[in-house]
Amino acid sequence: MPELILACGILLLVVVALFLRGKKTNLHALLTLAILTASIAYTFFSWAFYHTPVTLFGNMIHSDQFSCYFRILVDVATALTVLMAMRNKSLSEKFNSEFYTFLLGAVLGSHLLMMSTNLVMVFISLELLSISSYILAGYSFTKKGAEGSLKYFLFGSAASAIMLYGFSILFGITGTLEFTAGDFVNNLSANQSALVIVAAIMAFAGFLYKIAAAPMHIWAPDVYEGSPMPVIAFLSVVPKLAGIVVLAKMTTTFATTTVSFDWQLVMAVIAMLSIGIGNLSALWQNNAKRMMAYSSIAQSGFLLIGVVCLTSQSMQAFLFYSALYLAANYAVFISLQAFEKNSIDSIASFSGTGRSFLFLSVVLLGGLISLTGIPPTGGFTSKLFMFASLWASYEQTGKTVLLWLLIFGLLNTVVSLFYYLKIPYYAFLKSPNASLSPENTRFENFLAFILVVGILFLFIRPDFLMGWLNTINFVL
Amino acid sequence: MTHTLILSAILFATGLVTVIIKRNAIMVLIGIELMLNAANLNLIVFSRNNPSLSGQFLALFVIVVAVCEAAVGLAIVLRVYKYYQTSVPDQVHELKD
Amino acid sequence: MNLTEVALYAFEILAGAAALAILFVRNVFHAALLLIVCLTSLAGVFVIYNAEFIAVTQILVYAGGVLVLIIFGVMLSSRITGKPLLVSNQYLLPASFIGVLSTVIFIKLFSQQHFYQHPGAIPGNRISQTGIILMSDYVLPFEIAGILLLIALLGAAVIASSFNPKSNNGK
Repeated sequence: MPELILACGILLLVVVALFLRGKKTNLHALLTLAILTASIAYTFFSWAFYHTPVTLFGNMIHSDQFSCYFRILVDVATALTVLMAMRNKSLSEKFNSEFYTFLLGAVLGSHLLMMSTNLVMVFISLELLSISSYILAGYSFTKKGAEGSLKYFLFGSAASAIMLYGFSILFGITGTLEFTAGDFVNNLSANQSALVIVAAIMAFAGFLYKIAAAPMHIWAPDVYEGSPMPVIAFLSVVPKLAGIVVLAKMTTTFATTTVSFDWQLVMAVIAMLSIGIGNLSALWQNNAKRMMAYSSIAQSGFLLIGVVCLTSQSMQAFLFYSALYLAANYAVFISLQAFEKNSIDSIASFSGTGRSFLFLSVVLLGGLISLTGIPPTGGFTSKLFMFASLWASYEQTGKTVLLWLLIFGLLNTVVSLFYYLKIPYYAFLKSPNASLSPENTRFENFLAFILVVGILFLFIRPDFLMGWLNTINFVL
Repeated sequence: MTHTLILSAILFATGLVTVIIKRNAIMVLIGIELMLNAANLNLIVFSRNNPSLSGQFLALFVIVVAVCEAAVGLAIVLRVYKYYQTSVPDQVHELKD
Repeated sequence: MNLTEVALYAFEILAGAAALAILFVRNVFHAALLLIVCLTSLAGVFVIYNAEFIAVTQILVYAGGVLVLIIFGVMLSSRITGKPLLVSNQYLLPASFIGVLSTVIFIKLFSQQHFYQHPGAIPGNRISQTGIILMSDYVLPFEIAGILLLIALLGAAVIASSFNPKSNNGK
């Protein structure tokens, strides 16, 4: 199991850190990369084996191709984070090795979270993910970093306490903690009351917090502004994917049991709120990190469309969208980190960077266009699949809220154009206000370039990934 | 059994109100502990005669997690104290909208 | 009304009263002490509800560990500022409204709800049963809890020892 590799990796890193204390070395990062590669390789080669889902540890976790796919995505995202962190000078030298330990802790948590079928596992792996993230969020060791991680911690613990209260009520009603088991479903359908709905909404609060969806999003801008760039990139992808996967699993359970209540409506409203609030607030931001925070709120709204529909077509669109979101987001954050090295962080200071950093600006433009969802990038294809699945679902059920979500999503794609293209506008069309002495960003150029090439490739040949996704067996 | 559930509802509401009204990070942490304990109380009441003891185990892991949260949380609070000389979340506002 | 029931009511009233009192005290240290009272009486309630092991853990870990941590926090932070930690309140009206409303709603919903009744009872010695199940069915969360504790320990050490006045961003 890749989780075993990760768990041993955490211990190995702690021990190795003892021997390398005080030495300037990249060994921790390389070791982490090796661990992640081993985990990816293991998952990849056991792909065929999980065609029929496997239940492990007395129905604690459930391993299938759906979770394998997301485990690979999470590992790839973390590997990119490690590569970013190796090039980031603002990360404290002193606690270098611990940084990678916490990173692996968060990855282990998200792996288990995506596989868990038992509320005990959901809770403890969510907390492993959260506690590692609280620590990572404060890793810049500045005043702002301390404040960001305090806010993240206080809101996060309160959200997980509310979630736990929801779990405890659900346990009382069903008498079991295995939320995919037959007992849970049967007892819920036998007792459809207001309490079930209240408890389920409370249980969702914790996940909505993790993915920074609309009512629980207020922490995101502050945390993003105070954290170092690799951590932001990590936080905007890994907890988000893990949270939405669990949300999809739990919504499936509730949607099949409490038929009298319209879960699609709730999810659609949450998705619309996230998209709307994220996009409208992003328009007014002057700081690139804060802008990306609101952008990530809006993107989780788009990702939630997959959970709204819960058809196998929408799930495929969701898988495709996640991969593209990961690639585009990392391309943007890698180039932003390269710019930050040259002390360019507010949007106005991007003036004229198109001349001094031509290559980097073009790559950044590629990532941002893909996040907006206009051709010729894979972002366009992924949004197209998402909206197509939404339309199919609307035709199937005839619920007007789905149509509203579709129209709202399309409108907001246009709105997002204005803020995503703000940085390229400054970069290419404004004249530089000061001459900069460029620092070496060759590594970042290369890394972001590969991601952007991937994005462009998936526009030309989406069937390359889609064909693979078609083989996945969707039993949530 | 119902009177214990009433206690759990009261504990949860008290925790929630503490989190909202108290302008100090340590008090907010205390409120969170109250909410976690309300959930634990529910879990234990509901698994009173449960032969698989599942509710009790969730409660056990909640206690473990609460310790981790308190340790990390208080470390974060202390660091904020050192920077800002306060732990009133409202007075911590380097970051703004 | 037998002795167990009297004890149950007494523990519950004590826990509830201590929790409510936390709302009204202004000193953080007093609030921490009230939390100890609340958590210890909850441990009594747990014993009556057949959860002896959890009750012991509650006293050892919560009253022993978490509370000591909180009191350390209070003392260290008041040492930095040099005055006792007094807390003021905010959003009093809306918050009390939310509090009363959520209590009333939950009590009403709880009283209407049919909860699942487990058939039978826990066989044999409950504490040894707890140990057996913990090391068989719940071995995965048990191991993860170990890693979680390791991460939290490392994290607390890193965060607490990382203060660097140079990175204070002015001021």
